[in-house]
Amino acid sequence: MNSAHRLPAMDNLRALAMLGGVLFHASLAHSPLMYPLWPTADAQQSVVVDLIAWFLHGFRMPVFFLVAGYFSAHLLARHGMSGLFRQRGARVLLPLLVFLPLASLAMHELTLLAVANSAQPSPILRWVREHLDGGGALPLFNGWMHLWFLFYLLVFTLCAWIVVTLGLTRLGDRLGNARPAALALLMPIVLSPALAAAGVPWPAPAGFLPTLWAMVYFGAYFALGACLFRHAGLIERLRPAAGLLLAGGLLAHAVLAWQRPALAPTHGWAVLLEAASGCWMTLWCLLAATRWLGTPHRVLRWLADASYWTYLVHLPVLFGIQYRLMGIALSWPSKLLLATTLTLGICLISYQWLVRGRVLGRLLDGRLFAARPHRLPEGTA
Amino acid sequence: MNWLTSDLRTVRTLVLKDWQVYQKQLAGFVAGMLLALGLIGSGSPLVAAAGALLLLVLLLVVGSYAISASIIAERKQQTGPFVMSLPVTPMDLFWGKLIANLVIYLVPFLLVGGGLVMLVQTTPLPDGTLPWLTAIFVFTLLVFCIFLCVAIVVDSEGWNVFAMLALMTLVGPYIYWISQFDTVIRYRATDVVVWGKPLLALLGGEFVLMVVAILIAGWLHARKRSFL
Repeated sequence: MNSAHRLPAMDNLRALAMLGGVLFHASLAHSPLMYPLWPTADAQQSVVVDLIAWFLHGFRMPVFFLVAGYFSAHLLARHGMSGLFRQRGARVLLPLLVFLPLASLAMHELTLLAVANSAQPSPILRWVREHLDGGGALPLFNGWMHLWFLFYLLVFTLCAWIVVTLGLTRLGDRLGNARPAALALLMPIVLSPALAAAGVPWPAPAGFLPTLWAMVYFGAYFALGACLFRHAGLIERLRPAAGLLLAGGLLAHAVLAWQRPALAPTHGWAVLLEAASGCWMTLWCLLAATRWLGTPHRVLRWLADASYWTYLVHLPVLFGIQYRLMGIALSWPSKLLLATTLTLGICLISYQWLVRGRVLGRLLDGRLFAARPHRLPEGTA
Repeated sequence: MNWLTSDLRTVRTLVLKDWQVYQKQLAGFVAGMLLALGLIGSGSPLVAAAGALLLLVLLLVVGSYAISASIIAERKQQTGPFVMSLPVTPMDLFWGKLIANLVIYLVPFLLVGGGLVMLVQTTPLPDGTLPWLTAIFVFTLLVFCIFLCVAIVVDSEGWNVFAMLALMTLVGPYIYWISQFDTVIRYRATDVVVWGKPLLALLGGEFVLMVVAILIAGWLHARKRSFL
């Protein structure tokens, strides 16, 4: 693919994945699976939430990494390796360093407030309350939190340098030229061992150190995204299988949800089903986006611009809202709708009024430290 | 005797040359280090121990490899006479080799060091290990600096190999020695980070030694009027 060619579908896909992220985090408060672990776990729980939220979880982050890989290859082609590093430093490292302390502090204070005031605390809040009453302290930093995606993006940028320096891009070319059936069938099998190390549903690798399973699992999607930039034909070759991918993804998740009580989180079948569902749905999302979201769209473009800011700030906002909702007698759908709408509303309005067009907005949009185009030697494509 | 370089652009070119020539090997080392960090982050004690060992080995190997390849091997290939025909002074070459090797080593060193600090700070590992780990890491940097200076100054391959082996041999006894420090014995298994005067003095001494080694190597080079 020509380096100047950039699919608008990727921007639009990223915007929708961001909306899915807010919905996913909001729904965890009503997930029976997360009830003992999630700070905002509500008394109102539903298995329907588990069914939908974990389905979304299986391919939402792979889609993000696929899009990130695509844009990284785009940046590499336009600005070269030094440009890629400069852009990632300005647009990923800097926001990570700025927002991690802010988000950590906000979550810390909100949790302390909820521990002190909540009439119906979640199991985690009860545990924290007992811990604090016993003289313990609540640590300010708990890993990368929801910003772990940015950390892995930096790791994969380093990996991109390793791959290019060692001349391993040929492997990517092989992946790009792979037969669609082989890609769709082999990818879940290859990724299953990595997923087995984490268990299903996979936990967010939010610790400060990179974990091997996450590097392999998400790295594969990042690499696939980069291959798609270099081999756009792969998308068209996958297109006839779109229906099969959707049906397979839904079926794999349905079987996993049905069998989940009987299977251990690291059981081979559970892991394979999760990997298959995630992979096939990710590929289907890509095909759907290139088919239906392939043209520039003003609203989606604006949402794509707002998605980074929303991603950075949505979790503290959501926790603040859900901590308040815990003690209110409402059904779970109402609470979920309220929490999601309010969080998105606050994030998007604050983006428009406080971020867009200002220094912070230019930093997040990558325009503050825009890299100069890389001049290729004559004769090279 | 001129300590300064005659031309900063020449030094920059020499550094970039070494960076480009040894970039592949460095990329391989960084890949190995990412793997080691990933193993440490796995959570399993056995796998994490294997990762930590791999990390330490890679850190020692990357330093000695960079020096062997960029200084000793180049000397063996008789690139000196060729360099003499170029508008490069001995001090240009000194600064070029020093900076290039420091950059090549410090990239993985800082990556690994930062990763380990994060590991200690964010996992149930006792925070009190931090001074002990720092002392080990600074010592590996000292070993690298001294070996680098010896390699720059001494032409004899035999003496260079001897220096490398002697310095590597010191790593084990050094770790044993600092493990006997009172503050290390008392606080290493706790969450209290206590540096203590002896450890701080040791760290300070190690940094002074690094500077002294670089100054001596620079002084010896500055006396040279030609490459011979």
